Amino acid sequence: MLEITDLSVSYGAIKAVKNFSGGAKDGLITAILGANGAGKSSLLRAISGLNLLTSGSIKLDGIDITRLGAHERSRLGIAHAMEGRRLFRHLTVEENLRLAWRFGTRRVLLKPALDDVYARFPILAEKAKIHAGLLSGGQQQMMILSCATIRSPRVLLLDEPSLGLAPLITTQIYQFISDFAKNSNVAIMLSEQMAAIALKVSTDVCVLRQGTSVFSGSKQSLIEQGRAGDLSSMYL
Amino acid sequence: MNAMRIFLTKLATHPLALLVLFVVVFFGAPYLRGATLQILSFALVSILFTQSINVLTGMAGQISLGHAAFFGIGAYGSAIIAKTFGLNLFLTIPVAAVVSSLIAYLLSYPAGRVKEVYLAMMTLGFGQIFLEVAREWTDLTGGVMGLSGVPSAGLGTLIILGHKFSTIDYFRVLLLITVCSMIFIRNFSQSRLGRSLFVMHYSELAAGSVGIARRQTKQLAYALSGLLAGISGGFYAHLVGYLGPESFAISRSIEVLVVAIVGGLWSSAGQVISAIFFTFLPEQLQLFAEYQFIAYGLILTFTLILFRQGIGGLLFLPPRFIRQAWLTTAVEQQRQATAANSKTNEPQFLKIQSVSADINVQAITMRFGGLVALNSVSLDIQAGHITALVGPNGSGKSTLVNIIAGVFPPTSGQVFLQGIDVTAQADVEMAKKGVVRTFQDPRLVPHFTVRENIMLGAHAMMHYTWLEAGLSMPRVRLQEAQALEQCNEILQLLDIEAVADQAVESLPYGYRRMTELGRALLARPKIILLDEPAAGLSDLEMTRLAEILVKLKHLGITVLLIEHHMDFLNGLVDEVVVLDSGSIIFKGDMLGMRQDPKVIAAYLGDDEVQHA
Amino acid sequence: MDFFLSLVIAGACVGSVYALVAVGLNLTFWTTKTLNFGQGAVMMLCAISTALLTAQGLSNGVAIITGVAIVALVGVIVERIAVRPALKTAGSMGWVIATLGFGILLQGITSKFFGSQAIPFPEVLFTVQDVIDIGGQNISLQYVSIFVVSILIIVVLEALTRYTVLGTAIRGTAQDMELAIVQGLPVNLIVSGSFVLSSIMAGIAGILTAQISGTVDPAFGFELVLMGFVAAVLGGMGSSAGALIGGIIVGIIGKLVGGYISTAAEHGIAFALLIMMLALRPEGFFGRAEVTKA
Repeated sequence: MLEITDLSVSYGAIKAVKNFSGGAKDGLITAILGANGAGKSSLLRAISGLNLLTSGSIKLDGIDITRLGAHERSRLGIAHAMEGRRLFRHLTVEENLRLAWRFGTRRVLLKPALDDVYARFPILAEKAKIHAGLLSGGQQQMMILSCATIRSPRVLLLDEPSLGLAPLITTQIYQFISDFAKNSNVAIMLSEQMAAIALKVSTDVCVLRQGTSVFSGSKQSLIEQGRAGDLSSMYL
Repeated sequence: MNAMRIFLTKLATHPLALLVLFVVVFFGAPYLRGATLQILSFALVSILFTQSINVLTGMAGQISLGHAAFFGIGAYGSAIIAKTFGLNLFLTIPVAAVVSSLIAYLLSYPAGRVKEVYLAMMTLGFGQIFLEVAREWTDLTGGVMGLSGVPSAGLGTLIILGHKFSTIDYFRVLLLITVCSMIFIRNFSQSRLGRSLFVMHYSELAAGSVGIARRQTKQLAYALSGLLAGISGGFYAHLVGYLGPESFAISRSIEVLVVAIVGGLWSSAGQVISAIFFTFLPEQLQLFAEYQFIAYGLILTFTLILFRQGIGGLLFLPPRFIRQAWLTTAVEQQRQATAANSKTNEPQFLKIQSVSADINVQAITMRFGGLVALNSVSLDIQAGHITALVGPNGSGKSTLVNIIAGVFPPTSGQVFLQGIDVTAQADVEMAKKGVVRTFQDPRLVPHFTVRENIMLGAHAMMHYTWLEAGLSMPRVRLQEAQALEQCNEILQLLDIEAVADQAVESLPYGYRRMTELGRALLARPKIILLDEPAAGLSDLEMTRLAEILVKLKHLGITVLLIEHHMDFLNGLVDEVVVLDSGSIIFKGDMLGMRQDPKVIAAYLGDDEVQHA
Repeated sequence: MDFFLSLVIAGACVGSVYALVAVGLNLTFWTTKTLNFGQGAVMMLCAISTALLTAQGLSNGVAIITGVAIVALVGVIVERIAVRPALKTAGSMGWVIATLGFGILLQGITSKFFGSQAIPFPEVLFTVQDVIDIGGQNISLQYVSIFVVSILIIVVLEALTRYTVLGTAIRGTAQDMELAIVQGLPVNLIVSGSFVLSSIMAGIAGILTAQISGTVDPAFGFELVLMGFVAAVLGGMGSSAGALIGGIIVGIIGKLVGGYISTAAEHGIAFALLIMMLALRPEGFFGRAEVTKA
C-alpha cells in the first residue's frame, strides 16, 4: 500500500507538484490524470526517488520511505516504468528481463519468472535474443511492463503506458495491468493523459492541473458527481 | 570581506593607480639587482603565457594540455628566424607568434564537431609531437643539444638597429608588451566577441539562437590563444639565449595550467599575482623545488573542486564584461529616463519597419530513425499574430519549432519565411534573418549579469572585429553604446531594471526567464519562438509576460509559442494549433479548441469518458 | 621483407598493449563518460611496485599481484576524490584536470620517495634471449607473450561483459544510468568497479611494457596512455573490438615508421593519426556517432 501526504516537488524554482495527497491500495489501481505539464511524471519520479521532494511524506506499507534514496526504494519493492519507454536499447530482451529480475526482490526463481513472461507475451519469447531497441513500440512496452513485474514489486508505478501505442496494443497492455493487479495484490499507480482507458481499469482517480490536484477520489464519485464530462475542462 | 574586494578591485582597475605602478616599475628597473630583474622578466613571460590560457580555457572553456607547444613555436620560431636572417626581435617575435596562431587555428579545425574531451586529447598529443620535432629536427632546432646563440640581452648579444640592448631595456620592452597585451585582452573580454566566447562554453544552442557562429568563435579563441602563447615564447627565447627541447615538455604545459587555475580561470588580476608567485617560489624556497611535482599535482586535483575561484575570486570582485565607462553611461541614462518618467513602454527599435513576417511550412515530415515525429505538416503562421502550438506529449511541437528555428533540417518538406525558402538554413542563419527562439529552460551564462546576458543578443547586430575590440577603436564604443541603449529599453520593457547588474545565478527563476527573453529581443527578431515561456512562473509573472507578448504584437513581431498552460493562453493568442502524434488536428481559437471533439479525444482518449 | 615482417609482428605485439590500455579507458568512459588522464601514473605505480618488491626478494607472482592490488585501490581513490567531486562541481571538463593532477601527484610522490632513477624491471615472462621461430623469423618470446596476455585479458573482459550479470549491469548503466538506478542496480558499485578494472588493466599494461623496456622510472607510462587514447579513438570510443584493432594498427604503423623513417617518429606518427582521425572521422572505425555533436 502506498500513502502520499502533502507532497511537493520542485525543479529549481519550478513547482511541478503542489501539496499532493493520495495513494494506491493493494490489488487496486489509482489513475493520475492530466494534460502534459500537469506534473504526473514529476509525481511518480518523486515516489520512486528520482526527484527530491521539497515537502511531504511517502509511506510504503506503513514505513516512511521519504528519506530513502531511489536505490533503496527500489530494493524495498517500488518498481517504476518511466515515461518515454525507457529501456536498455543495446541489451537483448532477455538481458533486460534478467537484469530486472536480478535486482528485484527475487521472490520467484528466474526460470519460472521468465516462463511466465513468455507465456503472457509470446512475442517476447520470439524476440528474446534481439536488441530491445529494435522492437516495435508495443513490444517494447510489453517488455518494460514485464521488467517491472518480474521484480515481484510491492508497488508499481506506470508512467503513461499507452503513449504512442495503437488502440489494440493499448487494450492488450491494460488487460495485462488489470490482471496483474488482481493476481498479485500489488498496489498500482498509473499516470495517463488518455483518461478513458485509465478510467476503465482504475478504482481511484486523481486529476492534476499545473501541479495541483483538482479532483481526488474514487472513480465512482467522479461519475456520480457528474464530473466525468468535466474532465476536458480540467485538462484544457 | 567584500569591502576588501571592492577596495582591491578599485585599486587594480584604477587607471591612475595602474599608471603609477607602471611608471614605478619602468623607471625603478635600473635600481634592481640583476638577478631580481631577471626573475621579474621571467614573471612577465609567465603572465603573458598565462593570458593565453585565460582566453582559451578561462573564457572559451576549452582545455589545452599541450600549450607548451605554442610557447615553443614562438620561442624556436623567433630564435631560428633571428639567427638565420639576422632580423631583430621586433620582427621575429610577431612572425613566430603569427605562425603559432595559425597552427592553433588549424588544430581547432574539428573544434565545432567533436566533444571537448577529444580536443583535450588532441592538445596533449600535439604537445608531444612538438616535443619530438624539437628533439629530432636537429638541423632546424639543434635537436637535443639545443639551440644556442639566440640574441639575448643577458648575454649582450641583442643588438637592435645598432643599439645594444641591456637587460633593463629588455625588461622595459617586455613590460610594455605585457601591459599592452593585458589591456588588449581586457578590452577584448569586454566586447561582443569576448562575451561570445563565454556563451560558447555554456550553451552552444543558445549561441546559435542569437546568431553567434560556433565554429568561428572557437577558432578565434584558439588563434588568439596561440598568438599570445607565441609572443610569450618569443620573449622567453631572447631572455634565456639558449633553447633546449626539454623546456617545452609537458611540465611546462602543466605549470601554466597551475598558474592559471590558482590565479582564477578568468581573473587576469589573480593570474598576475599567481604568475609572480610561482615564478619567485622555486627561487626562494628550495623546499618547493623538491616538492614541486607533488604541489602541482595537489593543486590540479583539488583546486577546481575546492577553490574554484582562485586568488582572483578571493581578492577581487568578479570581472565584468561590459566596459565600465560605457556601462556607467548606460546606467545613468536609465536613471535619467526613470526620473523624467520618459520610459519607453514599447522599444521603437524593435518595431517592424516594413511588413510583419509570416512563416509557412509545407508538408514537413521528420523521421528520427524509425520514428515519425512529424507527418506532412503544413501550417501558416500569420504575420504579426500570436499563435500557440499545443498538443499532448510526443505530438511533435518541439520538433516543429526546432525545424523552423533551423536547429536541424526536416526529412522532407519546406519552410518559407516571407515567401523565401529557408529550409536548409542553420539556426545561426535563421537568427540573422530574424527568427529567434528561447528555450524550455533558460540557457544563460550563470556568472554574467542580466545586462551582459541580454547583450549577447546584440552580437550579430554589431560588426566590429576582434582586433578593433582589443585596440578599442571608436567604432567599438559607438556600436556598444547603441546596443547598451537598446538593452536599456528592453530592460524597461521587461521591468527588470532593478536587477540589471546582478549575476543571473543569484536571481530567482522568473528573472532568468525574462533575461533569456531579453536576449532574444535584443537580436531584433521579426519572429520570436518561445518554448514554454510560462513554465515555472508565478501568476503575477505570467500576467506580466502576457502583457509583454501583447506589446510585441503591437510592434509587429510575430509570436509563436509552445505551451501547456491553457489558462495563460486564454485571451492572449489569436490562433491555436493543436498537434497530435505528428499531425495537426485543429486550427482555430481557444474556445473552439476546448470544444473540439478531436482535441478532446487526443487528450483524453475516446469519448467514452464523457458518457461514463 | 624480413625486416618488414619483423616490424609488423613487433608492432602487433606492442599494439596489443595499447589495446589493453584502450579497453581500460573505455570501461570508465562507458560508465561515467570520463577517462583517467593520469592513467600513465597508474601504470607506473604498478610496474614500480612490482620492480621494488621483487628487488626486496618477493617472488615475481606475488609482486605482480601486490602491484595490481595497489593500483586497484588507486582506481577506487581516483574515482572518489577526483572524478566524482569534479563531475559535481567543476563544470563539464574539470575532471580532466583533476585526474591529470592526480596522476602528477602520484608521480611526484613516487619520485620523492623512490628517486627519479630508472629501476630495473625483472624478467617475468621469458628472458630477452628467448626467441621462437615463426615462419623463418626469430621473434622474441617476450613480445609474443605480451601479445598473448593482452589478447587473453581483452577476450576475458569481453566475455565478462557479455555473459555475466555484472557485465550486463555495466552495459546497462553505461546506456542509461537513471534507468539503472530505478531498477535497483548498484550503480555506485558499478562505477567504482569500472575504475578498479580500468586501473588493473592499466597496471598490467604497465608491467607488460616494462617487461620489454627493461626499466621503469616515475615518468613511465605517460606516452603509453597517450597511445591508448589514440587506439581508443581510432577504433571508436567505447568499442572493445575497435580498441583492439585500433591498438594493433597504431602499433604496426608506429613500428613501420620507426623502422623505415626514424625511431623518434614512432610515437609522433600516432598523434598525427589521432589528429587526422578526429578531423575526418571522429567516431573512429567502429564507434557509434556520439563523438560528434547533434
